[in-house]
Amino acid sequence: MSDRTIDLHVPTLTRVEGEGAMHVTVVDGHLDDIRLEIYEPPRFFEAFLRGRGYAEPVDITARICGICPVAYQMSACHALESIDGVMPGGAIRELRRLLYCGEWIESHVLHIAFLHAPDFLGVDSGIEIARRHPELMDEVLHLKKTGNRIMEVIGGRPIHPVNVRLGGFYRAPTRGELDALLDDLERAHAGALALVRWVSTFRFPEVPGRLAADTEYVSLRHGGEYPFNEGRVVSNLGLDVDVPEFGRRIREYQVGHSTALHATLADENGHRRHFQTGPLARWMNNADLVPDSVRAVADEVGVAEVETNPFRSILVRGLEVLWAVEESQRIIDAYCAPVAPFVGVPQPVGVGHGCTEAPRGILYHRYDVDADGLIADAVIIPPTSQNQDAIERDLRDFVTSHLDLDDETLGHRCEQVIRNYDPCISCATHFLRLEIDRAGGP
Amino acid sequence: MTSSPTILIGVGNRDRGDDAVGPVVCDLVDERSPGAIPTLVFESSVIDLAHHWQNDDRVVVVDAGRPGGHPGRVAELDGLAGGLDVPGSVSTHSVDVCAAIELARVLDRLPASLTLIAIEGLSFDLRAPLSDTVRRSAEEVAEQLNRLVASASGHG
Repeated sequence: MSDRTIDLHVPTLTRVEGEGAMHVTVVDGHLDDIRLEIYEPPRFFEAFLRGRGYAEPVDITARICGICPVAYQMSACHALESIDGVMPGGAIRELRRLLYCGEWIESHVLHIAFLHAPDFLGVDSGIEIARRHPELMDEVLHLKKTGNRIMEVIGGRPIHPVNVRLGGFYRAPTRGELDALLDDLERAHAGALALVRWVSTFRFPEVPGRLAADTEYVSLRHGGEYPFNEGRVVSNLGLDVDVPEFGRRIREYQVGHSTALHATLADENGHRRHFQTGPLARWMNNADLVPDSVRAVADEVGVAEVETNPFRSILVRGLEVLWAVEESQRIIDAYCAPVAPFVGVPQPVGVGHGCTEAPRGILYHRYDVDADGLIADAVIIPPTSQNQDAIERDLRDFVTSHLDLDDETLGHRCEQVIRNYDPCISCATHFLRLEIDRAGGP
Repeated sequence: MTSSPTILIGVGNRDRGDDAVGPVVCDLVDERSPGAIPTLVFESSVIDLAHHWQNDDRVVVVDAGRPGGHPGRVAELDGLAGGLDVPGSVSTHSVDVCAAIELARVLDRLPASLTLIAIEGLSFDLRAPLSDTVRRSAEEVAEQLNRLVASASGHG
């Protein structure tokens, strides 16, 4: 196999959110080129925001994604509120966490059961999985519905919530409205347990060279809670900075084969470091903060506090679903409606930074607001941009160490490598056309 | 469709031109027959559709159809029939209605009756309004539903 030549091109990746392609070229047994090609047209949201009122990004940026709109709303809120040091607490803070729980549940469950699990089982879709495991998939659908229901009760609708505003919400739910979620959450808890236990039975391929890739795992960390909306940006390599400093250190750059910017992280000396964000990073930096109940399940299914195999990210997502269900129950049990659904946010002037944990990883927003309260400049760095380098490095490591696989299997595995990151390119239709051009060799 | 549904479901993105026709039909039925039947709008994934009805429900799902040269054309299909291939889940949804119904079938969660109404769209441009012909079809479908609802409630 050492002199093998492969030209592997997947023009349209399936089971990812958005439009992208993959290209792998191996010449005489040596990896020549590997690219995650995101060809979806640029959407110019940062430019759209210029000249808009300071309160508008909360709703405008929610339209960037139909899977993780809450992440965009929360990062926008925190960035703009930070300019005047506004920090909603109490029940408003808890409602924001509850809303985020809903998004994590529905996003993670969709990815685990319908986008990623088929890779591990060698089937094309969640429907095939349902034929084999109908009871489990019925609970999966209920979990998804429960996540959507939380978003609907807190956010006003299950997609692109309309109840979020700077300082909190337009309307706070009543105790009764939240209590009505508890029966579903009880069933969802059992469903989440079943899901993570099922995922733990998968066979997880290895990616040799993964640790040697010098990857830095970056996430938020805040006090004694698993992170959502707040915290310092930390890493396994000692990074520990506030959000504005993270904004100064992250460097976006353009590559010719992608319409999405890539990103690296500069250390204190300005040297660029590769990094990744997402469930593995969150877990690595915060596993000590989950409740004992989740920790016990992690032990049961064999998830260590440090997991670096990207194929095992699906397991961590499963644990995060379980955690989000328990966090939802905790928040609702303790809920007392706030006196007012929002706190006042004076018209800001200056620069604000916000960073929250979207299901796929940290989502950074920066806004520069002028004296008239208009957005003068906006920067949005989504987790998929941050993870593109890591995905390509994983592909490089995987292909290099699996040249013995036939083209079809190698192609499927490479798509699986990409799906390890649950890339969210945008909501779009998905088709698969796989082309393999053999340029020679066995 | 000869009897009143017990649930009306509209599928589509309200901000994508004629893709909004399903939600608009729900709006029209809500306006003219407020509270008569539950209406549900799915603007994103319909993957959990099967968890929004019971086995004894009579369900009507309205979705936009792919452009085929006859904007506004209304196709009515029996969702319980096998081999369903509704032309036109033009879709911003990650799983289309047909796949969601197939999932319901696999999970033994099909309702007592399931009527799919596909209204062929013309334009799915972002933030575009409904095309005139599609709006007229939406109103006709809503009117038909309202008549069935009124008839079932004895007000027909």
